[in-house]
Amino acid sequence: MRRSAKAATAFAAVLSVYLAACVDPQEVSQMKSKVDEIQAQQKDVLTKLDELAKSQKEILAKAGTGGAKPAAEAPDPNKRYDVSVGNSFTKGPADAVVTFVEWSDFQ
Amino acid sequence: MDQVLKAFPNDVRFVFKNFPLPFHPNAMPAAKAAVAAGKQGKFWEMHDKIFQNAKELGPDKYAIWGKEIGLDVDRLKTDMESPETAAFIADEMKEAAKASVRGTPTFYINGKIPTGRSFDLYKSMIEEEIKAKKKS
Repeated sequence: MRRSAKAATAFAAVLSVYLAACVDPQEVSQMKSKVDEIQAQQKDVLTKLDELAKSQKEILAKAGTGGAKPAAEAPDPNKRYDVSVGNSFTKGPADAVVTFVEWSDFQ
Repeated sequence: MDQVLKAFPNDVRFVFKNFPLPFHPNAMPAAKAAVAAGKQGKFWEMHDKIFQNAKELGPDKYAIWGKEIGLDVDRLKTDMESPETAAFIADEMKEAAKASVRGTPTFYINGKIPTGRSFDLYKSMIEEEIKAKKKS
């Protein structure tokens, strides 16, 4: 029994020396600096994402308060909207039964 | 639109309202040109010129087209820059917001928004409106 325990200790010692030999300390320091670099980059990415989220919020806030803009809700095909002729330019008889209104953009 | 007016010469009145989109740089000057031409009674003539040449809009074009359709070009230029013209367009855009206009073009047939864009759909909606009117 004691002999086998001794053998196991010796084996472990040999193994640890062997493993230590496998890991080149220079390599370890290279890996460490690589990890540091990746961490730094990740921090940059997170900061950029924060900036993007902030600017998106600002843009949305501006869009919400911008002058004349289309209504937010979807038009209802069954609803009759109150659309008057007003001073707008027309074509066709003034006493026509049907008024066909177009809102358009020249581009 | 001309197709609709031709099909219903006595029953349809067509109304054009401006909604120049802010991200179309030529849209507002074009709208101003049409409204300014309207002050000389030639809104539709300018409207047609603009639509026919929609891909080549530019500040120097309106005077050329104005001349072609017989406008006083100096007056056109003055009217294009007048606050009255700007206010006219602003009013139409305000109305658009009230009428739930979400994009261009948006059509209304007696206040109802067609669910698609086809002559057949417009025709059937117009016929329905005429029928409803005759019953009442």
